[in-house]
Amino acid sequence: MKKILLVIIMLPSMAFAQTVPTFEQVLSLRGAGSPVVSPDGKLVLYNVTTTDWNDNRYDTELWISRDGGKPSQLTNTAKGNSSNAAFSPDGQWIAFLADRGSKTQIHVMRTEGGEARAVTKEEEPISAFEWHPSGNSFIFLKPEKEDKVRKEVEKRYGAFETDDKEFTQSHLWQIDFVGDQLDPSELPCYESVDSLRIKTGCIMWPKAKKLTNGKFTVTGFITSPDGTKVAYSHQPDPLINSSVHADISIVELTTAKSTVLVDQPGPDGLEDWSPDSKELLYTSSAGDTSSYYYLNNKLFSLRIADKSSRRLAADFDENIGGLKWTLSGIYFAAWNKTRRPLMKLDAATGKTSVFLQTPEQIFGFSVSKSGDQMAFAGRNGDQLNEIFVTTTTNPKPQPITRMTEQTTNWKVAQSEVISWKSKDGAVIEGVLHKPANYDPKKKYPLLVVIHGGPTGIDTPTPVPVYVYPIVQWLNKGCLVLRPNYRGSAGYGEKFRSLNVKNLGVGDAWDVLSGVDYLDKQGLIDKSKMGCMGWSQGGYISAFLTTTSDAFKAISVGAGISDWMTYYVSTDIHPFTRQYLKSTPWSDEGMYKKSSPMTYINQAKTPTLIQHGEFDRRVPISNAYQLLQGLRDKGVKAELVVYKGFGHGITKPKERLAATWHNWQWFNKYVWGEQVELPVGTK
Amino acid sequence: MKKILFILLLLPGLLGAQTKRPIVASDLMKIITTAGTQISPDGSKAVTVVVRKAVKNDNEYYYTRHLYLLDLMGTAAPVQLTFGDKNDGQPAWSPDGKHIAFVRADGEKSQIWLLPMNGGEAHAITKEEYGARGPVWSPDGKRILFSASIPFYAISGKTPWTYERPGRTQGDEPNFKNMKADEKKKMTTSPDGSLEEVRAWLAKNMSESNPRVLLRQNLQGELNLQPDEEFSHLFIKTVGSDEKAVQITSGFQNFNGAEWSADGKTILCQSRAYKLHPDRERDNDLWTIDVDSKTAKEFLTMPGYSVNNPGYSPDGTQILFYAVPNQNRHATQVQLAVVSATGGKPTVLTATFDRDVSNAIWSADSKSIYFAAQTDGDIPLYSIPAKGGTISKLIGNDSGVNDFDMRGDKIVYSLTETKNPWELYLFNIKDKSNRALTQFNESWMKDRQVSAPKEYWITRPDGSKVQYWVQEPVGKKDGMKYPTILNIHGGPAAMWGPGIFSMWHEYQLENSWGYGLVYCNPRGSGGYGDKFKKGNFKDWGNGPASDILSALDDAVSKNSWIDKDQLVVEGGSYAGYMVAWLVGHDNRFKAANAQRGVYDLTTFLGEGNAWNLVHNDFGGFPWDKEIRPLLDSESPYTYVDKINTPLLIIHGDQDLRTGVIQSEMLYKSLKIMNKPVEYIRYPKEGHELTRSGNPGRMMDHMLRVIEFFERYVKHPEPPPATLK
Repeated sequence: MKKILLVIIMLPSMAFAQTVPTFEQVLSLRGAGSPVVSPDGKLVLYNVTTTDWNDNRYDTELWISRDGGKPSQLTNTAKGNSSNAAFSPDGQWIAFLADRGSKTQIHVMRTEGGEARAVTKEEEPISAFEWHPSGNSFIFLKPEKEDKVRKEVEKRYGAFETDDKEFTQSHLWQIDFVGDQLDPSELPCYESVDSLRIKTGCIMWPKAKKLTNGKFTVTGFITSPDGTKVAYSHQPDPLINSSVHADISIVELTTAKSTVLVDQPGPDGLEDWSPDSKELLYTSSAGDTSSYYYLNNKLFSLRIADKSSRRLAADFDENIGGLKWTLSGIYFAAWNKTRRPLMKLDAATGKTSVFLQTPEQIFGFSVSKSGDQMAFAGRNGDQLNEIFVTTTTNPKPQPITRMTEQTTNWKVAQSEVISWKSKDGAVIEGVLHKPANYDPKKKYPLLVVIHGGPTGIDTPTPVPVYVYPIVQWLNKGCLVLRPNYRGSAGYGEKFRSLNVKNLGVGDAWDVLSGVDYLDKQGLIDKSKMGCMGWSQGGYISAFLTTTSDAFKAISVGAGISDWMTYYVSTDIHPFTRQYLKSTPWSDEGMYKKSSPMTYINQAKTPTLIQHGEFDRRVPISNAYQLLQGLRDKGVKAELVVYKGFGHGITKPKERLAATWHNWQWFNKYVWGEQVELPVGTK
Repeated sequence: MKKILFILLLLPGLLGAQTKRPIVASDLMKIITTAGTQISPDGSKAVTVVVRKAVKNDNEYYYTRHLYLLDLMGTAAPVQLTFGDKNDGQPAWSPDGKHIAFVRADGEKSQIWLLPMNGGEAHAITKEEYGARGPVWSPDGKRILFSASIPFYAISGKTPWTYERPGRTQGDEPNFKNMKADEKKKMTTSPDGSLEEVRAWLAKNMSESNPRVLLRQNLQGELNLQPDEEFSHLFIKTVGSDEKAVQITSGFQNFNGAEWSADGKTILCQSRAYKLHPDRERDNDLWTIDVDSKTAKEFLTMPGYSVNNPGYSPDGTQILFYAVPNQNRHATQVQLAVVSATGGKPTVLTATFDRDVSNAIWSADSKSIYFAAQTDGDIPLYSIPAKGGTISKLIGNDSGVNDFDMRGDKIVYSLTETKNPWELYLFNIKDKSNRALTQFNESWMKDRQVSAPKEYWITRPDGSKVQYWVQEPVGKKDGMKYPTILNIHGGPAAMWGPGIFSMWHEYQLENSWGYGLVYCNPRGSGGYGDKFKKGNFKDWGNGPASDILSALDDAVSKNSWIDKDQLVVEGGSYAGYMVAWLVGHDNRFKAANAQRGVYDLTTFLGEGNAWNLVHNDFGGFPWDKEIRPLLDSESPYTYVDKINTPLLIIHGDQDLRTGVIQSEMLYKSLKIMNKPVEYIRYPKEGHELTRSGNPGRMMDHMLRVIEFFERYVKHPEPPPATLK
């Protein structure tokens, strides 16, 4: 039965002459996400991201589908993005954020047709907004004005910055929305020069009213469905490590009076209002301030009337978030191993259950006002992300996008989820990719690609993208293993804690045991293996460079070389303290055990190091440390610095470069082929 | 009893004085106009371009042009479709009504954009190097025909006419303007090399417009010199495809006014295979282009006529076009003509109509043609049977139809009348119902007081009739006398009247400032037939001047409130000429204002792009023996020493239709003679300042003229415009 199904599925794709996509083609794949369903459930807005090679950027614009029909592009922001789409409560208007030349503003267009216009003229860029339930105003978030003193100081003394002391707080504002607002430029008001000296017919932009004040920054907000108040999360300042102090307050819209609701130690996160505006969902570390990087957060419902909280979803062993409390119930999507079902939470019992598990992975979702209609982004393991619509009463998801068709003529990656036992007996899963024309009789070279996080996860996908040309390598003739090593998301709190005080060491076990497993299956040629990864995956790759000689080549992307170097110079100091349960000064041995540099004298593997010039998460000192160590030991090593980038390579041209650099490195050291970087225009 | 009546009579007046306010200068900013109105294929909606004036940062004035959607079925308010400081125009519905193609200037060159009508923003569908304009959908809605102007240097091959650079041949130097940067680098140029290298060096300088090398007769554009000829070519863009638009015409030839045949296989347009440089050939024939093979061929030549803007009848059997007689260009009037779609002998429909026709559209049943024509101060909308016959007037009494579109029984038109300068209306030819679609100006005009023109006719000694109008000052009281402006139009073939938009605000503002107003259409004006238009041949001065002064005298005799001792005069362009002529021959005016005028006809030949007026209207050139004395005696400058009236001279810096040199000649001469004269120059403005110039400068212009007159007149009481 299964076999027949497979044949049927294969047939249509066999009909096409299939080709290996170019790197540019892979990096040019359009992506769909962030669906928003209209209040009446008939329309779905979503984001489509395309690659703009001319301006070297990714462009996100809004698309719309009506009654499940063929979608069409809705917005067109030149040299900028259109995002954060939101229907007005009556469905007549679509609001979104875009920077069209004068900072990011709220723009509004009629649902029935016509272009958008800016309805705010704020001097600071708006970062988030919501329609007030009345439809007559917006609640929005924007940073405070730039400090004038700061400018004066720079004028006289030049540029300097005191660490952790300089930041801009963001606060909540409310502004009226006037549907037929004319641009005041088009009907000027001659208050001072009108020969009639009568101020008439003057039109003005609505002026925003400030809702929150004080020495804190607002990080998120949700307006109560009854329109009387706004719940917001806040922390003392926007510095990344201040999230441990994140609390939740509420502001009354009529009085702009704020009241603190949740202020436990450790991060507290805002989730959603109950439809009757009487309860508020929030997540919390429940007072924990030393393990929240890897322990499950906890979900609570707070009764506004008496501020009492009750625990929900206690039966759910994963991090929880992105909950939506609708008239048909509370929904959330969460990892369950390599699948991501949509879950439903019973508000009364606090119990969770699977609501929808097809497609295999469900991401962002949106529910209509009645709670009956739903749109979500999701995919099966052999698909690109699609936008689906379904009823919630009798869920039968129907895709409204055809994003996967972009790869119709491509030889894409075949994926299967495999599992093996690691050195300590822990069961590890991973995604094994095989080429389209896989020959089971052959032993293939193996490339291991390791995700970051460590709380990331790899899942089956036809075209894995970032800076590793996985599809091209597969078609060149190899297998690719992407292990969900200990600490990965999706396998429960215990698994996520397995790397505590054991970073690197345990991770290396998981990778090498996976390689051994494949070897035992007779799938791979152990003499031709490479390993690579970015961030935590770069760290594990670096650890394998200095602790193993299993690989012919390794690529370390934005990886950690030395936990002491990392700890003192990163922007997230608590991360290291939580995983290593120490500081370098309290337990230097712990830091040594987990650091690739500790084992530099044993390093043999030719290593490519890739790093963003201004990476604050994993500062570039880590790259130079590994580079110099390898050079001193006479191990082949190269460092490529991507100019202007932080922790990620976020632009298409440099992604293309980083892809080529990996292609060259592994082709040389795994396959023994010299590849020149092509120059000139195609 | 009498007392009560008096009170009753006064009451409405008092109320009026309290609630109705006069028109003021800044009302200019509130006047909204429309353009390019198009009814949707199903007749349920129309799209129009709404033109607004805007200002930001205190005094940065500009225009905005946005698309609006009008509801022709119900009574929903107009919906704005496009926004921002961009300029949008030339909307065209796709045959299925699902898209509007339009032209947007956003960046350097205008391109064709597509606006989905089921929601969403517009996006550009062309990226033409030389811009794109005039979108026309193919009947099947799959392709869009558009035009672009290609400069001379970007066209390959030899000109079909004799190349006009003395002693040189076409293509004998590097064509730098058409080269890419690396190609330019490869060229050898040197100021010190061989003649060839020197020529290349000179050519390189020329390519950077440093200097400009002028080889053509029509060297002047509107605001700048135009050394490069441009040729209008046709392109076809397949909608929904990423492929570049295909150019279907080529060469040193212009293709304009293009339309698709019903089967989408042929393009019909106007063109001419030039035998002389296009500056020397002013006429067009009708051409067809086979879309597949891109072969263009002559379809119709009409001896004695230049023909243009062809349009297929809805049933595809006939072609409507304009025919302009090319003899006696001084007084030609545009005619409507039809020819069978298969060719043959054309019929002129309006031969006896004796007016200039414009904006002609086929009726849905292909049996009638609807058009507008300036007539006796109005611009009525007419219809005529397609096979010829009686012309009937549908709309237009003391009003002007500026622009209209028709589909089925529906006509959407914009109308100017005294009580409202511009609004769109829907007229049904079946049930004759008529309703306003917009309240763009009505919304602010409601509480404004306007002065209505009173119409008069006088008969001149030669039997010709001259029409003129008088507008009373706002707040006129019986028994009082008011300073009065004689306002004169240019052209000289223009026509003024209650249906003409361009003067609406200026007239009303002058009335608000307490001036009476007299304006007329003297001999040479349009709108009164061929003979009247011809009436100023070889006679720009005395004949029209006596018409104008007779109208003024008649006005004074019939309106006792006109203070004949406080008359002032103003006019622009040809009327700038006339103002200078009048004050050089007559001392009755207290002050005068001559705008963008022509004062010496011989100089006019060289200084302006409107130079054809010289030989068209005076029958020859300055070097013709009998013509030179005529040009001198007809030139106001000849009488400059007779000018005693205080004179305000105004000109735009970049006016190349009538250059500034003559204003400077007039000004300096009067200055040397120590006469009262003031000279105003507007930066960045051409000949159209008072009609489509920068709105801030338009206000300045009007107020500067009024302020000048204020120095020389006394009002019986403070003018309403100045009251708090």
